Amino acid sequence: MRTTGLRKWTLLASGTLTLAVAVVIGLLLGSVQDLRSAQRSALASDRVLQQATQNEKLLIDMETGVRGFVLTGQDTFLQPWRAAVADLPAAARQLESLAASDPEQLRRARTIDAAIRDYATGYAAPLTRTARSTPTAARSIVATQEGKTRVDAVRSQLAQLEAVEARNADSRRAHADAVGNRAIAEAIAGLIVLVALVLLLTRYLRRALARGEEAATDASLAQARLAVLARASDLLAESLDEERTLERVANVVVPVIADWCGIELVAEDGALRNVAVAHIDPGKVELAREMQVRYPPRDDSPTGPANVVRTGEPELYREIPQEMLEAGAQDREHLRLIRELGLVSAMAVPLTARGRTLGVITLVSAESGRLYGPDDLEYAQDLAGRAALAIDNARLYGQERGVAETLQRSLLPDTLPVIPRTALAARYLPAELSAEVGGDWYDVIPLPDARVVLAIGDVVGHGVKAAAIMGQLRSALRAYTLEGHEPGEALDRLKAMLRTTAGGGMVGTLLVGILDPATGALQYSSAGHPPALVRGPDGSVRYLNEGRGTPLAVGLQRAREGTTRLEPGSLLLMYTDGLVERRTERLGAGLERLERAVANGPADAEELLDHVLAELGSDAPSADDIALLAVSPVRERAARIRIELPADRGSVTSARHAVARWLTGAGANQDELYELSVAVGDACANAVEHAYGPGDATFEVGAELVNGEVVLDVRDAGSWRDPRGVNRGRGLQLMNAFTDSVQIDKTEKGTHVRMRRRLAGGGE
Amino acid sequence: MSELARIVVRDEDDLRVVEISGELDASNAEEARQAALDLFANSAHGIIFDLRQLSYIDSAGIALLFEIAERLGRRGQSLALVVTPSAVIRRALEVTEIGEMATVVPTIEAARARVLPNDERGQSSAT
Repeated sequence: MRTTGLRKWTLLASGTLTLAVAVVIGLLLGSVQDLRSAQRSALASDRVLQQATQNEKLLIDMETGVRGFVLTGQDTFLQPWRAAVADLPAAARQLESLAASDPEQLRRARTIDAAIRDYATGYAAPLTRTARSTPTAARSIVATQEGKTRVDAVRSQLAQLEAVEARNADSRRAHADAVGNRAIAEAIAGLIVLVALVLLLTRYLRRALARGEEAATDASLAQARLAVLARASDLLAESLDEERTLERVANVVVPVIADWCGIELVAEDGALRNVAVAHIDPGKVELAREMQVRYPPRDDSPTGPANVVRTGEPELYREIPQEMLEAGAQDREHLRLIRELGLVSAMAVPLTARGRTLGVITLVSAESGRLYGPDDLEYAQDLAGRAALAIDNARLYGQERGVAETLQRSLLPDTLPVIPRTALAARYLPAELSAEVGGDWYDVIPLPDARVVLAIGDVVGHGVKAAAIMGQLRSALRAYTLEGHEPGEALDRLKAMLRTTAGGGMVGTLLVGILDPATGALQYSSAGHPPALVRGPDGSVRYLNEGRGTPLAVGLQRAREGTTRLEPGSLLLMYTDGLVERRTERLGAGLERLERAVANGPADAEELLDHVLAELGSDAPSADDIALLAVSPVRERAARIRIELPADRGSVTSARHAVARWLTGAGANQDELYELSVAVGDACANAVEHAYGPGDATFEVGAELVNGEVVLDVRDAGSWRDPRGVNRGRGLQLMNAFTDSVQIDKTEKGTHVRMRRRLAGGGE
Repeated sequence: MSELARIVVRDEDDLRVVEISGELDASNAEEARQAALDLFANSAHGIIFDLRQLSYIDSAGIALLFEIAERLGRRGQSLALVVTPSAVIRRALEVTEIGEMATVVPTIEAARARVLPNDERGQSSAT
């Protein structure tokens, strides 16, 4: 729209100028024409005068000739007369035509002509004839007197005509001068008008162009500023590291919005701490940092960041007054440095979120010479608002999530204790959808009487509070059960504790069981928790529906207990509701799916948990935590195992897993389990390497408990090779370190490695 | 990677943290080795191996740690192993004296402090 307007006005102005030029030139041409005609008429008067003089001369010639002839009778006197008479008609006509422009003069010219003709024909001609025929009669002074009188009359008329014409000529010349002067004046005036018009148009065009440029600059600046805002918002949303983020924001703001950008945050002690400085000239950033160190801003300064934080109100200095710089300087050197920065205009805007001022963002113009106005302040406040909210969110999120996660992780057992003849497995999957950490937990507590406490719980709520309550519950449960309380009694005490402590309003569920691994007897009690599930050795699956009570902190009735017996080879699965609850289906459907998954699942506790999670998990991110605990009394305490496996690397894993299961049954503790697994694993790895080719070679692994001593055998059909390379010796090194003895027999039939180790618990 | 072990890499500032969880034995050590060798970043001061979730390691896995420590050492980078003090695998690390080649620490923070340049100067690290 602006450009259209510009074009219209430009066209109009150009048209006006052209028209003015035409008018001025027209006027000038007119003046020149006037001047020419004035000069021509002045010239005409001159010619009339010349002709009149000429005619007068002819007349005098005639009269003198006639008189001379009459008085002397000599014919020679008639010579000029004849010539004059011959010229006279043409001269008379000439005078008349020259005097034609003035009627008065024309009349005079005609009268003169008539008089001359009359003199020539009516007087001179008869006189000369008479004088020729009767020379004496005519030859007298008297006879010529009349002719002289007549000629004098004509001459006086001619003189009159000449006088008039001379006056005319004067006035015409004056007129021509006047016309000439006027033309010059008109030409000068026209030129002045033209120059003025050209100047006006030039000025107008320059302004119009400047306006156009300004408009274009305004538009691109606005666009750049919006881009900065968008980029800053992205940066703020991207990261939780506030200092780094703010530094990047400062670098985006410069140079589009400001030549300088500084961001200060209020530290925990209330002091302002600079976290970001950006300048269009990176070299000056150092100078600014140096100044910050040498002259830390005073908290009591009446203006600037400290004041903005104090009041929560922004400051805008369209032009930074000299006095302010002086007041802000702490000494001469400081003032010199400040002046060196060449600050022009500045804004300091509080970073305010949720009613708290978190810091200040300072925008300064220097090199660009830009002056900040209310629009700029509004923009800066928008930017600051976004930054502040991002900082606040990040802080809140960081605090909450960090503390909760730390608590949660510290409260779940790192590793499960090793319980003789019992396989244990557990899983904890935090919710993926919720930003906060949940309150699901589990625990396994070996009791002094060789029984083991199995617990799984769910604290309603998320975050730090839930994690803290979970921690309280876990410690309290440990204390009560270690004191010898049975599951129901322990739950009652927990409920009582919750009623008297701050966790009064807490809602949660908990399932506690105490298992005697020796007999498989399980006593359990539930405070509103989903029922545990048992798969018998025959693969039948049932839920443990007894011993159910109200959730924690709800109701006053005593907890009830249920009992059951876990046969060797059976499996107990405890879980939290995240496993079976889906928003889109009823709880019963989840329980049925779990039942099926467990019925069809693998025998091994670890493998079963993976199977269950795979079967019941959905592709969508989980909205709730899931905790799982599986307990399986080992089927039979085999005195020995002996397995044969194909000679490939994958078999190494199978072999040591089989031995590990057997060792658990044999009563090995956690360290023994790991160390003997490594010993047998490395022996197997050697056996696999000895095998000739990949064909159908096999190796054999055996484990036996003899008088509390574990005897491990690994046999292969290849020949033992001494370890090669610097790393190869480590297998043997570990085997030696982790067993009491290593014996290697190399025969023609193959290699036999035998390792022995006495178990700390004596074995069973 | 087989289901036995899982490798998760995260870059924290100038440090690369490689978390190996599960079990590392002869069956998957070579796979882990290939994966680990790909993770070397030239710019880093060093690498942190987070082994807190590793429940089993035998000579094959330990050989891998030695190789990585040696390769890093040749480039002036260091290797820190994060292992819980009570972890069963600690025994194997002690027996094989991996501590001669790499720093064994209980937490990521401690590992960071050892790997970052300030503390690196304190050690007579091989170049």
